[in-house]
Amino acid sequence: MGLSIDDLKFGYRDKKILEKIGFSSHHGEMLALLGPNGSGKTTLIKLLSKILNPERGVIKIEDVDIENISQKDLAKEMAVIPQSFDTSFSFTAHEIVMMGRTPYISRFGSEQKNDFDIVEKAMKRTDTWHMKDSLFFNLSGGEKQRIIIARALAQEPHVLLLDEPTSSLDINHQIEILTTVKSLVKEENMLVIAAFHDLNMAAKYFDRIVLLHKGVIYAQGRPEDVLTESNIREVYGVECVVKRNPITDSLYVLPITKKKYDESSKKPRIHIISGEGSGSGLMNRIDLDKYDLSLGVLNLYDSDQETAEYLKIKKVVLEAPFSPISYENHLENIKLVKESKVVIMSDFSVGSGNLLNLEAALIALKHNIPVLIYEKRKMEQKDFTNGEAAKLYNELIDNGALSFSSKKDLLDHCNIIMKKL
Amino acid sequence: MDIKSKNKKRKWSTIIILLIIILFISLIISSVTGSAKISNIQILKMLLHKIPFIGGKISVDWKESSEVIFFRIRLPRVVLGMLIGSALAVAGTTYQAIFKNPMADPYIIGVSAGAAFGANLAILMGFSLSLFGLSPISLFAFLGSIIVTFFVYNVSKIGRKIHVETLLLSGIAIGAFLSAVTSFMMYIAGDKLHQMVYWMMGGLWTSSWADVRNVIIFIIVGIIIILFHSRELNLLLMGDETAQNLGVDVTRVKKILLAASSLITAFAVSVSGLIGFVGLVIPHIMRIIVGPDHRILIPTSALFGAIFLVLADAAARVVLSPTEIPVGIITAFFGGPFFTYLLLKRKKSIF
Repeated sequence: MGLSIDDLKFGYRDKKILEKIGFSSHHGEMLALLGPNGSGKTTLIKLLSKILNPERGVIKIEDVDIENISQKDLAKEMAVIPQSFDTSFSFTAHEIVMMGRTPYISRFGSEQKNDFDIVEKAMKRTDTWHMKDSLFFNLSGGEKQRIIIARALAQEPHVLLLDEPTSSLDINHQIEILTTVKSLVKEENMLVIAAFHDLNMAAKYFDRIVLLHKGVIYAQGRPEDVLTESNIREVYGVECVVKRNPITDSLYVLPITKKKYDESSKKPRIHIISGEGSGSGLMNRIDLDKYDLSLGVLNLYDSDQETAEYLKIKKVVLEAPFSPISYENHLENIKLVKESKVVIMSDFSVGSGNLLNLEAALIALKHNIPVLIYEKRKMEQKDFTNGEAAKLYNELIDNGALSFSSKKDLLDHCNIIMKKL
Repeated sequence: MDIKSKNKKRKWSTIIILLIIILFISLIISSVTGSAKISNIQILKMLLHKIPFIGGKISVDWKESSEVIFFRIRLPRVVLGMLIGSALAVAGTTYQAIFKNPMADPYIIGVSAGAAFGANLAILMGFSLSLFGLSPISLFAFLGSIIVTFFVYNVSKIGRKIHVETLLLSGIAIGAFLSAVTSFMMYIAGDKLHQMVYWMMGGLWTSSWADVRNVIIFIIVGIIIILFHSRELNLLLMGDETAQNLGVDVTRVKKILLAASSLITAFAVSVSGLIGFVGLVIPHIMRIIVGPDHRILIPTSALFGAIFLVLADAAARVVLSPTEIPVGIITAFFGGPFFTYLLLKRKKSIF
C-alpha cells in the first residue's frame, strides 16, 4: 500500500522526458529522487501531483488511480512543497497556512474552530507559531519554507511531495527542514517523496533512492547500493569517492577534481608536508611574491587545506577526509617534492594513514633536495605507528635532514638556501 | 478561534456596513442632483406617494414634469450607475487576480474593442433592430463584446488548459485589429461621428428602466458567482500550481470566473459605453484599504465601484450645467489624483 507507479511515460511532442518509470513506496518511508538537471525529477513530481498528465502508465495512492481522484480529494491526501514559494501580496503567515485548509472548507462555509486548531498545531510543529501575524513576504527564506511546510501539514496529508525543497536555503536551514520532515515521517507515518540535488543530504536523510538518468530509472534501492562510484560517474559524469563518515555513519560522496597544476610559474618552489593545521604557521610566513608553494598530502577540511585555499595555493594534493593516503596521491606528492627546491616538514602526528608523507620526505633527500623539519614535539610523542614513524624519522636525520625547534630559525635557514640558488 | 481572527471578521463587517451607508447617501445625493431643480421634500413626497396605503394621504403639489424627470430619468440612471460601477469594479478585481497583473482591467481581453466595433457598426449602418427593449447600439455592442471574448478565449486555449499570458496577448492583438476597423468607421462616419465619440467616452445619459431590467439580473448573479469564488481567487494569486496542489480545479475555476466577469462587463458596456478607469483603479484602491483577501476585496470593490460611479455621474451632470459631460472624464479626472495620493501614502507594495 502507499503509493505505486507503473510504467509511467511522459513527453512533449516528440521529446521524451520520462519513460518506463515504475516504483512504489510505503508509509513511513523517505524516498529521494536523484539525478542531474534534466533527468526528469521535477517532471515526475508534477506527474505525481497531477499538475501534468502522463502519456501512459498509472499512479495509484492506496490502490486508487489518481486520475479518478478529484483535485480537492487529492489535496486532502497529498501535499506538495515546492522549491520556493513567494508572494508579493500582503497575506500574513497565518493566512498562508490557513490556505492549506481549503480542501476541507465548503464554498459557502468559513473556517471553523477545528481548522484554526489544526493550523495552530501545524505552525507549532514547524516552530512558526510566533510569526503568525507577520506578513509572509517579510520573512526570511528559511522561515518561508517552514511556513509552507506548515501549510502542507494543515492539509493533513498522508503523502508529502517535495521538489528540491532546500536548494535555495543555507546549510543550517537545509538540515532544520530535513530533520523536521524526517520526524514527521516517523510520528505521522507519512510517505515522503523528494526530488533532491545534494547527494550527501540524500544519503543522510533518506531510506531509499531512485536515481534518474536521461528519463529512465538508472538504479534504485538503499543509498549504499545506489550511490556507488561507478553509478555517479555514469550519471553525473563526475569522478568521486564514496566513503562512510566515521562520525555520523552515513555515506558521503566526495567529488574529486583532478587539480591542474600551474606549470607556467617560474618561481622556485618550496614544498610543505603537513597536516592537522601544523603547516599553517609556516605557510603564511613564506614570501609568496618570491617563492612558489606546494603542499601534500592533506586531507580535505584539514585546517592546513583551508589555509592553503585562503592563500590561493594551487598545488595541493588532497585526500578524502579521514582517509589514508592513496597510492595515486602519494605519487602525485612525490612528483611535487621532486620539482621543489626545499622540502619543509611540519610538526604533525604520524599514523598509518599518513606514514607515506615521511617517505615522500625521504625521497626528497635521495634527490639531493634539502629537508627542514620543524620539531616542536619529539617524534616519540607523535608516533602512532608503533615505531615505524620513528624509524623513518631517524633515517631522515641520517640522510641529512635538519631539525629546528623554532619556526623562525627554520624559515631563516630556508631563505638562505633559496637565495643561494 | 483566536481573538485576532474574530477581530478581522468584525473589522470586515464594519467596513461593509460603512460602505453601504455611504452608498445610500450617494444614491440620495445623486438623485437630487441635476439641472432640473426638484427639492428634497418634493422627492420624499413623490416616493411616499408611490407606497400603497399611505400614498393616498400625500397631496400632489409638484409638477408632472418633475415626477417624469425623477422617476423616468434620474432614478433608473442612479440605479444603472450603481450596477455598472459594481460590475466594472468586480470584473477588474477578478481579471487582476486571474492574470496576476496589476494592469488588467475589465476591457483587457477584447470586451471594449468588440463592443466599440459593434456599437459603431450599428451607428454607421443605422440599424434599427432592437431586442428586449435594448437599443440597436446596445444590442450590437453586447454581441460584439461576447463574440470577441469568445474568440480570444479560444485562440489562447491549448488542449484543456487556458494560458493566461496568451489570453492577454491575443486580447491585445485582436483589440488592435478591431480598433483599426473602428477608427476607419469613424473616419468615414461623417455627421454620425459625434454619436460614435460620445458612445466611446461612455455615459449614463440614455439610461432607462428597460436598460436596468435587461442587465440587473445578470450583473447581480455574476457578482454573486464571483463572490462565492473569493477563496479560489486568493489561491490563484499564489500561482496556478500552488492553487491546484491546495485542491482548486484551476482550469474549471478560471473558466467560470472568466465567463462571469466577461458577461457582467459586456452587459455593463452595452448600456453605458466605455466608461474607463473604474474597473482598473477601484480594485487597487480597495486593495490598499482592505488588503489582498478577496473575501473582503470583492464585496468592498462592488460597493465602492457603485459609490464612485454614482457620485461621478452626479458630478458629470452639474459641472457644466445645464449640459452634461461624459462620466468617463469625471472618473479619470478625480480618480487619478486620488489614486496617486493613495499610492504615495501606502506603506507596502500592493501587487
